[in-house]
Amino acid sequence: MQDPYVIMTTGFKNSVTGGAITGYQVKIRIPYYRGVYLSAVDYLKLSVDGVDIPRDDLRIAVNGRTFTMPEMEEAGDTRWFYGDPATLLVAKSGGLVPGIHTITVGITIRKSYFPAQDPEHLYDFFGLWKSGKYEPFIEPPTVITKKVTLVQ
Amino acid sequence: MDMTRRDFVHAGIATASVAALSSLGGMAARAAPPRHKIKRGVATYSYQEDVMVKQMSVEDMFREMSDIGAYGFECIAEMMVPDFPNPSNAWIDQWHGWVDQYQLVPCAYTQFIDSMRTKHHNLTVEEGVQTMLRDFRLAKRLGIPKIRCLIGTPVDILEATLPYLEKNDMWIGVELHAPIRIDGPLMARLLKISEKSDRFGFVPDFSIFQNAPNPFLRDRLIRDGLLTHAAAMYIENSWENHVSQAKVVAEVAKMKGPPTSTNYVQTVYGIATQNPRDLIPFMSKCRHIHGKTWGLTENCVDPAIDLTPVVAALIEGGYDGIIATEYEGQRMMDDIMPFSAMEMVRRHHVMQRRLLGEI
Repeated sequence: MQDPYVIMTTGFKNSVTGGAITGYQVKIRIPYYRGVYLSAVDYLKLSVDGVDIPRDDLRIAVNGRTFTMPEMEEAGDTRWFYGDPATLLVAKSGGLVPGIHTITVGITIRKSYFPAQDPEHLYDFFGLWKSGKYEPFIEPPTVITKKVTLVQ
Repeated sequence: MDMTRRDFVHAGIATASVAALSSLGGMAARAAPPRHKIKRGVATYSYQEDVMVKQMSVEDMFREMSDIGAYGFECIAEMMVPDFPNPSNAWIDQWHGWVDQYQLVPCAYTQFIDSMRTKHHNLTVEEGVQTMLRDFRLAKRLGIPKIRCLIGTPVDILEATLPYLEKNDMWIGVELHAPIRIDGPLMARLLKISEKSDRFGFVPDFSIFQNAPNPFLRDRLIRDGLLTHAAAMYIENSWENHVSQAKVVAEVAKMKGPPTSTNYVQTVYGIATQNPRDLIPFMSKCRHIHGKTWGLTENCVDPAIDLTPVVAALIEGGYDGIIATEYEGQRMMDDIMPFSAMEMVRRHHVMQRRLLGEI
């Protein structure tokens, strides 16, 4: 939802540490209608110019704190506020070449619209029960692509 | 309950209208709408797109809702309250300043249980109750007495929360959203819970009264190349004429166009209009209502949800509360009419004014 506004143009730049370009960063808004605990980000994948970024090279920063992907999954006390950007940080020596880049973000928010279990069979009609087994519902990822120019 | 200034103003208008009507004689009296306690409202969910890109502040929402004459609104705190769940006292003071200045009643608070809190841990019942109490605290600070819970709120957490309602002076309503059946098993289970406390009830969502295909969705699918116009018309006509779903799927599969056209069969055949009169027996348990809409025409008509019989049932059942317009068509319209919410909410309120006899 709100796909056109997820990947932000502002904030797309190389990251400089100690005078050297050590990576790059891009800001995203949450594709939902409310903020969530950061741990509710069930899936996050970034691709740049068609190349998937390895999970270990990716960090996410909200409210001035930076998280690895495993840390993000456990961040049940950190809010990613609605409309506020989260910064995706990629470690890449030399960063990106100035010019236009194709950024693709795949993201799933675990919305908990249905319970994790259904011992009383109350949610049969949502198709969550398949061949006698209940599966909690988690949406497939929203995939958003946008071309953005990096200057430096 | 104390009469708010807002109630007083409304009571004054009602008295004046009755006086005016009685002086006009029988004709006008027959034309007068039935007496009711339904008030117009807005679910701030509607404005999500504008809020996301920060072109609508919280005060802008108050101003807009006031301009269209809403009585009250439903608040999504996780969308609009900074530093959720613990905004500063200064911000809370500002909030109450807006409530007074714009004369709007904050009627209900949307609760999100987030039962699958992290990838590896689901909420325990005790953690669920603590989450509810977190929201009670914030709702109280915002001056909101009613909580709307989503349909997926685990029933054991709801039951464990009952003892806290009285002490916190809160009411909880679980939304009745399509495809939940008023006569279905989940509803039967929730009704049992409601027998234990008159502070537990329901929030009907008008999606359960959808009576026609949603043209805003259909047209978006066509624009996105996922459905052909011919297939859409065939599917909708077949649905209206009760052609079997299996036959329609088979026919659509043979038609020219993308294979995704068959998905629209499921969408249309999934419409299961419920009888609004089925709400009447437990209307006293319904203290808040979600006025779902996916969009309205320029004539202020909702082509997918006809509210005429719904409002009649609400009046007959004595519903006392707001119809909180919940516009949900943003993602169907954002390619041709971005930021459509304010316009659509306004159209919904013109429709409500007609149905409620205001115009």
